[in-house]
Amino acid sequence: MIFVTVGTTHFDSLIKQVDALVIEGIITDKVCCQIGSGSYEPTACEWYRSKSSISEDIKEAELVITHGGYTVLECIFLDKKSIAIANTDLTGNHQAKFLDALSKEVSLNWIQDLDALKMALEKANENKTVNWKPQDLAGDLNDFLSTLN
Amino acid sequence: MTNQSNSNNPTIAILLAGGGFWGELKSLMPRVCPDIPKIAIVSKSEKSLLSQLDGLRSSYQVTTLVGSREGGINKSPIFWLKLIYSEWKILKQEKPLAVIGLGSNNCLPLAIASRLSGIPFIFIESITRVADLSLTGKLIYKFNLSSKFYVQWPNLKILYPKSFYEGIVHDIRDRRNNTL
Repeated sequence: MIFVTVGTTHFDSLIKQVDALVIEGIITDKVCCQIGSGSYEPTACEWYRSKSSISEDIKEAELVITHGGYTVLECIFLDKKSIAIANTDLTGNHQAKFLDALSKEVSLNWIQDLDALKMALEKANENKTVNWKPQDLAGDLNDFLSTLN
Repeated sequence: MTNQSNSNNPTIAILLAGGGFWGELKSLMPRVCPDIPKIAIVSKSEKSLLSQLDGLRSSYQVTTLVGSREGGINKSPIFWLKLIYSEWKILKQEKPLAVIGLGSNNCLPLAIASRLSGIPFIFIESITRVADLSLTGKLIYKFNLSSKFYVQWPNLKILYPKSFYEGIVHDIRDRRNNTL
């Protein structure tokens, strides 16, 4: 199963593209889409708008196609084969900046342009975290909380 | 700031928010003072998050202010005042050690309520914010509404010197196969 997730907002152009690839027979796996508040409802994929947790769908999928939000990290930490796409339907472009910064720390399949999705699907492989060793924020947070107690 | 908390039975209040914020909170919270009970404050529209959290001493549902699911930010001043007042009442009653909020828009009214009630507010900017803070983050930073302001990328510390970069909300060493 391929799981496509767009987060809490909308990413109609991604859903349309995936739907088209299924209809054309380029994607042959079963596809499940989480479409958020999007207005395009796919015809060739299962879909829902949102769930309180998408973790089970991520775990069950062989491949995750995700917008450039927090889910990218979840896929990396679960060693999930994934493709991340910066949501350019939204303003501000912070997703591309996030994916770019992340790709310098871990090996990440990400694209900005939906035309590149087909090629990314051909090349998709597991993300391998590489040398990223940030501290655990909980350490400092607990130290700070103990000064308040 | 005078310590307003209930030091005999300390608690920590957390603002719950869905979507990616929930992923970050879920990752962080198990390691935050596990011996101190937590109080959750959550939007009524996201109350299903409560069932996903263990060890809650109590929870409060507040009328939603903001969120893309709810159609955007409510700008009515009366709405804001009512929300801040209801959160202020919760904090005055519970007297937690601190309030923790991560990323979401609903942090702003809660940060104001915390300030007014004398309870320290800790803001953690989302890990997805790399080049700049979110609008919520900018406002909390600018108006000094937090006792501690965390960012999760080191370059943000340079842009916002009063913030703290102390790593990320994940414990990387805790990965199953230890490839790091």
